[in-house]
Amino acid sequence: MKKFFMFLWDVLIGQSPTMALFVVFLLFIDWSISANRLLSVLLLSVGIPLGLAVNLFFVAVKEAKARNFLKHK
Amino acid sequence: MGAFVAAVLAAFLASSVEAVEALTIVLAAGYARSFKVALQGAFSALIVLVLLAGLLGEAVTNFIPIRAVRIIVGGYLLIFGLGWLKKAILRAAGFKALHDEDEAFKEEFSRIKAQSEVVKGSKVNLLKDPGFNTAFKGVLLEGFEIILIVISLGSSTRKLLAVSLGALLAVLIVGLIGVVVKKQLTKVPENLIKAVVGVMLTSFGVFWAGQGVGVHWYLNDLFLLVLIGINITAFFFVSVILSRVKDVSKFVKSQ
Repeated sequence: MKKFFMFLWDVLIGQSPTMALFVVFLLFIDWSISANRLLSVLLLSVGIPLGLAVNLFFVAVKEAKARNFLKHK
Repeated sequence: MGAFVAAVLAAFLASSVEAVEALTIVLAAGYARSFKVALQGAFSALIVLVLLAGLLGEAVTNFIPIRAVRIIVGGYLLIFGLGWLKKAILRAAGFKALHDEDEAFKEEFSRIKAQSEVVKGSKVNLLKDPGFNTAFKGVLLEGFEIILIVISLGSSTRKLLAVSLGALLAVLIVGLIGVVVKKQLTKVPENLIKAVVGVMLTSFGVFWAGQGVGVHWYLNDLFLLVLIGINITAFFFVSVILSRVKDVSKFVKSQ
């Protein structure tokens, strides 16, 4: 059963957590369009820059770690 | 009127980045080989592009439904816009080197010069001329990107005239700058343009993709200005946060 879910996960979403989150985000938007206008507008207009900010934060921390590592090597 | 101006501005900014890149290549080819040959390459590419634009423009504006276009184009602009915005933020925060047009020009110059030395003195076909080839490829590639911008912006807004005008203005102004300056465009704040373009493309991308999937924006087209404001705020806010992350080595050590 676990293998089956792993297979489904790989086929549908791939192994990237970012992609998985993006799929969830799209499903959430899809639901919100029919459920709540304000929520759908907020999700798209604020959610995308917020997602970019989170992504960039991790990129920056990773880069800073690498620079720090090189500096102390 | 506001939407018309916004479309002209978006197309102008997006196209000017591509035009600056095309001009860089043509100038490099002209200096290294000869301006006559480089201009021949550039104009040949322009002829190909005009034919291509005629075919693609008609196909996109007449046969494809607006909702599908908005989803596809919105997604396309969103992907490109977020990419540009991401790079612009990383540049502003000091994580990525600023794109130096002068350095790019020198590299291109020495590459063509080296190729030209090989063919110098021998009678060569124009199509095999490195100056012609480089200018042709550069203008074709960047010009095609301008066509994509014009078609995508034009078909989504149904303001093809405004978008074409913006792109044409960008090409003419960058061309004029190239004629007057006739050297590298280091003075043009390309990185600032890229940041603005990132914000504009992301905002238009979110707007159209949202419309395509059925989101009903408040204020209709005016909501674009709100989106632009949100993305500008995000640009500055994230740049400041990231520059702090870069500076605070203690934070990194504690990870």
